[in-house]
Amino acid sequence: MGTSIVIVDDHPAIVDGVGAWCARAGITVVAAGADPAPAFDVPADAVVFDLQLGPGEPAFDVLEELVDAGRRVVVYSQHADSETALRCLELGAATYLTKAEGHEHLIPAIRACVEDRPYTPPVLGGAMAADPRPDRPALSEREREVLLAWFSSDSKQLVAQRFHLSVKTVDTYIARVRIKYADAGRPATTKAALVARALQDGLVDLARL
Amino acid sequence: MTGGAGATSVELTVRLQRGLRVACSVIVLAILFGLNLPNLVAGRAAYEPEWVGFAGWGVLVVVAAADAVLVARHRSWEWIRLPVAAGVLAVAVEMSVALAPAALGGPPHVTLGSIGWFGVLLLPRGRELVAFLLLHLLLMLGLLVAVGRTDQLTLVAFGISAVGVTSFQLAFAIAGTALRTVARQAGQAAEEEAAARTAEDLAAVVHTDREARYAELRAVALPLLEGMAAGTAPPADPAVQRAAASAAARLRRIFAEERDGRDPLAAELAELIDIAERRGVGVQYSERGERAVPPRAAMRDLLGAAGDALHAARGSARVTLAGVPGAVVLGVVTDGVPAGFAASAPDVGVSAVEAGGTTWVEARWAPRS
Repeated sequence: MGTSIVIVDDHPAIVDGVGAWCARAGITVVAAGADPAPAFDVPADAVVFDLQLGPGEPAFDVLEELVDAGRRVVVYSQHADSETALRCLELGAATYLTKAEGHEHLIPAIRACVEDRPYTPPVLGGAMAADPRPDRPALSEREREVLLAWFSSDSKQLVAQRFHLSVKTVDTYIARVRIKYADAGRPATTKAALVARALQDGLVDLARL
Repeated sequence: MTGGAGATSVELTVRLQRGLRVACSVIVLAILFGLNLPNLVAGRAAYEPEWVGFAGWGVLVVVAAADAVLVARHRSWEWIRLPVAAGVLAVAVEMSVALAPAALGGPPHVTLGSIGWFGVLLLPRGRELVAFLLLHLLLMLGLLVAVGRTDQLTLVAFGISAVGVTSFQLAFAIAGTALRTVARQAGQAAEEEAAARTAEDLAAVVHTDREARYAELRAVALPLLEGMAAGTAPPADPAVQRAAASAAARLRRIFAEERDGRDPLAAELAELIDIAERRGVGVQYSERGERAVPPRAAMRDLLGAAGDALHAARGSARVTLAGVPGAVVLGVVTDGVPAGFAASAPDVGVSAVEAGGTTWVEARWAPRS
């Protein structure tokens, strides 16, 4: 059975663009538009959610309601600041992409999200590596360096070469940080699913969390 | 801005009030010793018993002395002024009652002229002072009536001395109030002048700063524009295009600096990105974390590495600037092959990694603390 998604975005060009990428990747768009209601009502594997629905404040409240309704949410936003990205993670979004990263990262992010696997695009990685908040999850020096390099280079191959690691190990470091963030702060079923899957996959062990 | 001028205004008022209080103390003491004491000694027989005159005078001397001490210590009577004023009035009544009826209003009746000055001394508020003076005069008038001295001559003499002395005291109090108003106005004028001066200074600094920036701009942009107009700098020439891009970037930076408080590293990096974009290179830029501002030498090395890497870019580049604990990291990923890098600042390190046709240059400033 193929993957299905709902797109919530108030910009028709974005809806069309994301729809085209999904069609090419074999992902079915079951509903799309500026109204978030179908994201609650229409059964789908994931929601691609634009945080900025019209002028005014970003729709953190709608995101929170979606997460509380058990939806897996990929936030796809024009906001490039760390604070917004980290707040979305805290609220329980599966991942956070800036619109500039979409062409490369959106489809892999949807696939990972549907499988409850972590997906960290570079800009989100940068936000976690340079997280200045005092209550941020504790990262090891190596985790932080790898994440920062991922942000800087946008290439796991370059990161692997720089630190003399395999690409798979680089992936593991990046995923582990994401799981640490999922394990922190406000509980959500989507966060729990992410942690449970990471335990199954052997990305983290209980002792480390 | 208002602090200094405000102090001037307050200072003026305080100095003036202090001068008035000193003057008043001197007047009271001069009257007590120079006028009252000789009259008391000469007319002591008019008091029954005799010691009451001296005792009452002694109490008044004590009050005047206490006031002099308060003046010297820069203190005031505060709330105690009202009981003390009532006490002074009681002393005056007691002394007047002890006086032989014939002496009332005459030279031995020393309190008649001097008590009003205690009012001036103790009661800085106009309404309180007027009430005090009126009450004293009414009491004395009542006493005259009580002892039966209601003949025209006595009443006229009492009226003359009462009006004469009281008008002196009231004039002194009114002059004090007027001077205080003048002082306050002078203080306000000084404040306004100081504020105007500060605003002028500020405007001059802003103007100089702006002049300096536009002078720099004129030196770069004007010759270029003139060259283009004269045909000596053809817009098709790549060198002219580069120079124009650089001047335009600087122009934008000047405008940007007036709008927001972007730090110099990010501002100069934006300029480098702009130059690359003018060459048709698509640049993706991201900024993360909280950054310290590196010293000039470190900044030059960071920007030098970024500039070289961007210069090598052919079609696309990714530029990132991150602040992490203890370091500022500037990264450039390009699809070109940059020349070698060297950093001269001691706490700047530059590394380059190449894979699959892309090169990732990272310049890191990590000050040893």
